[in-house]
Amino acid sequence: MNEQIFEIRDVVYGFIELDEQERDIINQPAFQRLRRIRQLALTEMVYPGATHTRFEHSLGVLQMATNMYDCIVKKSRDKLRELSLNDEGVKRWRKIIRIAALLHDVGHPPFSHAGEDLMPPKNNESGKCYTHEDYSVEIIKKQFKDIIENHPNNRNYGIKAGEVTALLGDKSIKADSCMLLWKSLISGQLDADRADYLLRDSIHSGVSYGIYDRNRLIHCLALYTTETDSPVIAIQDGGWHVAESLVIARYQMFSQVYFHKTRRIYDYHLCQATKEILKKQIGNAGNYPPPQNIDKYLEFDDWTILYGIKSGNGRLHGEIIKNRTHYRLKHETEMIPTPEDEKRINSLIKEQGSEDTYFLDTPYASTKWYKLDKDIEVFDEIHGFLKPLSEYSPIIKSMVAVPQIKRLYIKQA
Amino acid sequence: MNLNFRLSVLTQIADRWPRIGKTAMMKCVFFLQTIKGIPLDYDFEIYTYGPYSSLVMSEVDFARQRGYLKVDGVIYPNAYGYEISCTEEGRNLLSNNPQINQYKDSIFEIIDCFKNKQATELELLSTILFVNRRYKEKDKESVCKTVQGIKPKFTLTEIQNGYDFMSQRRYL
Repeated sequence: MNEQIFEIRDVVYGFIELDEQERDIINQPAFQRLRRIRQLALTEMVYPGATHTRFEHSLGVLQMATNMYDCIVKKSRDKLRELSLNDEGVKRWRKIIRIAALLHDVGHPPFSHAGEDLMPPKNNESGKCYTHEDYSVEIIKKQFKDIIENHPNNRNYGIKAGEVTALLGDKSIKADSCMLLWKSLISGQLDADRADYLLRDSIHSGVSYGIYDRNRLIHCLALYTTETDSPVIAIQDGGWHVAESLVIARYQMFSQVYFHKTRRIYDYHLCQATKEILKKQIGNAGNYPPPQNIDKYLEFDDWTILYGIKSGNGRLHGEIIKNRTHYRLKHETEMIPTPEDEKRINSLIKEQGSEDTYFLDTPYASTKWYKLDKDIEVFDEIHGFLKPLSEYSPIIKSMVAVPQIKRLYIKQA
Repeated sequence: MNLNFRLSVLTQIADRWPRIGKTAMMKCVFFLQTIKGIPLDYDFEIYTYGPYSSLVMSEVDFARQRGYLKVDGVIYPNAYGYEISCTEEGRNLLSNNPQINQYKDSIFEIIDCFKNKQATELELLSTILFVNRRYKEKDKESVCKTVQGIKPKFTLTEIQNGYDFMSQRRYL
């Protein structure tokens, strides 16, 4: 009997196809919750169309990862045989990748990345906090294990939930070569996640900055080996221009949308308002429940926080969001702050006196637009080895930097 | 540990190991943090090419921007690579940063032990160490079996030899 296929309309791909198991995964409450988690927090304060959710992005990553995987497999049969992957193995990994792609964001807090500053610490010594990936892994183990392992569609595959969580960074699962290779399709410099969000966020925001040639990119992917004989996903020689356009698209999206001055200050107001709501609802210092208390964590979505704000529980910052009376930008430094910049900021802060009247944004981590460390690899046909994209493209090479822009925002009188 | 300390360690490595490549730098930092317990606070994850922390390479780039390190692209007969060198400004950083002195012996020991190894060997040895520590695998047989699953290109004998090399030096 043929597997039943379900089609869902999508703004990027036209249609996304799902099988029965994937449909059943989507119908789980923990997945439906993603309909109530906005992809770009309060970006709509600047770009009113940007109200899309993690739900549609998750479906999109499933489709993008599948398209990438199918193209790689088509072109790299010999390399796959070296990894001991026969036709059955290829089909099985395709299924694992689709489920991992679908569930990769299931652990996001309300308002996505804007809520991540409120994740509780893993332990007080290191000061490191849980990430949304930690929550995704826990949710899959607790809420999706049964539907992954015991669904009738899994009879031929015998997939375990641990194989899915391993692709999402589950440290408790022992790695193997295939898992490490395909993990880069979900999280890497050329992954399905960013390949989808650039296009999707552009469309919903009404900008063109994130648009690149998706089909060309997908068709330029193949498997190669590094100098030390490790398998990696890389770009074919002739395709480096499309990889360049992807990186530029990302740079533009960061500078024009994700790092927009007004968007950034709303992340701050949202974080402060949410903290107040959590203090009231949970009674702790204003953090989300840890992954060990996953059922409680899943009770929180955008609706919970927005209701808290509407009810006045977000206090000052909740009112700021309601009335759109955000702190205003007073000073913005150069990409790498000069000593004069630092002096100016310090003097403006001194003028303010109270910490409640300003916010200094130092988004070191979020502005690493293009990381040299995870350079996209391009196969150089002439020399017969991999070369980093930044060595092909002078534009990319000049973009390589760690910007440390600082912005000082002041409360409105 | 603060950023300045980490930049000093990266610079010290480049000073002791002239023209060190990026793979060797990554593995050297991993050995220092894991074997010697130098408090660098990098999060290492395992990839097909061994343990890796994106922050290490970001900070190598940051050290380059600050002028402590020089990073040159080089075409070798069978690969494209990088050579990282310490600059005069880097040496000034080291002389003005006494915090590094207490770790110098450890840094020198690790570099002297591994600096003649090829990138492929460093990948294998660091993967053996990663498996031993992350998965808490203590016996030779289970470590070698897991490493072979991660790096099937190596023969069991090569992995066992790598295990013995690390074990004899009490690095496991």
